[in-house]
Amino acid sequence: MVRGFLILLTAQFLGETLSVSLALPVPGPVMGLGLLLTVLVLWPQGARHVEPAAAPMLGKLSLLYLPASAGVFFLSDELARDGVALVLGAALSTVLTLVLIGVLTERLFTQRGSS
Amino acid sequence: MSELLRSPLFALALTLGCFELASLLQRRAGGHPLMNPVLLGSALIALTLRWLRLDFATYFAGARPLHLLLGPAIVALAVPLSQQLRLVGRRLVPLLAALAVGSVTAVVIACGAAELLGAGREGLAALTPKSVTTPIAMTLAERLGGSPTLAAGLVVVTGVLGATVGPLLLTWVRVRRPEARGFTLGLVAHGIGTASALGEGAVAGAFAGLAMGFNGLLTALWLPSVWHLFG
Repeated sequence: MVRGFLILLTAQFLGETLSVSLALPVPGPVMGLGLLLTVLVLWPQGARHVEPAAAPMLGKLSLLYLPASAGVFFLSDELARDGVALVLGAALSTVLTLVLIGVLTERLFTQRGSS
Repeated sequence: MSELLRSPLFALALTLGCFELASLLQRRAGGHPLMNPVLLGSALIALTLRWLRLDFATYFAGARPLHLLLGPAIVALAVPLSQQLRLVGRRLVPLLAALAVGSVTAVVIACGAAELLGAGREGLAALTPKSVTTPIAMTLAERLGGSPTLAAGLVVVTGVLGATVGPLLLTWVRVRRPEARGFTLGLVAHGIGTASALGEGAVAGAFAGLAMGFNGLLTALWLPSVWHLFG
């Protein structure tokens, strides 16, 4: 568990370092995810060292975003006024992207399956 | 007493308590998507803070250790992702193409529609990562100058909508293959969609997890540069 956590923190630290020193717009933790993914693809057995820390954290991921998401109920008036437009945008995009990607991937898997 | 209510101890205990209560309620409701623990848990926290007349900033400062764990949690996504990647095999390139199309479409339609409806730039920055898994979405929104809190809210709205309407909509447009249904739900509705895909079966669930992880990674790679281009 401690070793797993050390690996996660090290990957994040390296990711943050890359992101800052190269002035990349990509957030540091995402760079860390990319780094660790590359390592695990090249060395699949490495997963067992990270798993003891990764599994419990991913299993209770929703807990980690509770503090920030509670803030939705305390938004500034200005942002709350935009709320309706933003929710409608999210809804429209969700429905259209679902249909587009659903139809696209259905074709993709059907073609691949029959060939 | 009020001094203690402002302490990190209270903020952390309140967060864990509301999470447990929300999880319990969700189990009681048979895992209904509207009983989402994030939606329910954050509402419970907000109600308690209002009831005790505590301000959000004090609570958030106290609960910060949990918020900071989002960083290593994002990195931890590499573990399931590396396992799901082995499922894909020779379909990797066409799937990445579908992913790219989906990642861009979701952002463009959402922002286009919201801007036409009069949303400001700060709001739009929080809307862009709405199809991305919450930890990455909040980090991204912060990077783009939007509110991570608002981003989390819009991610949950998208997830709940995608997970409830998505399966019906996919059946309606005759998307039947579990790989395609799972992939689409994970791409559009991230973790909440993945949970719903897992309900349809293991294959759909695995492809949903894959699409969720890679959509988060891919969107985080292209979105900030494009956003600054228009800024």
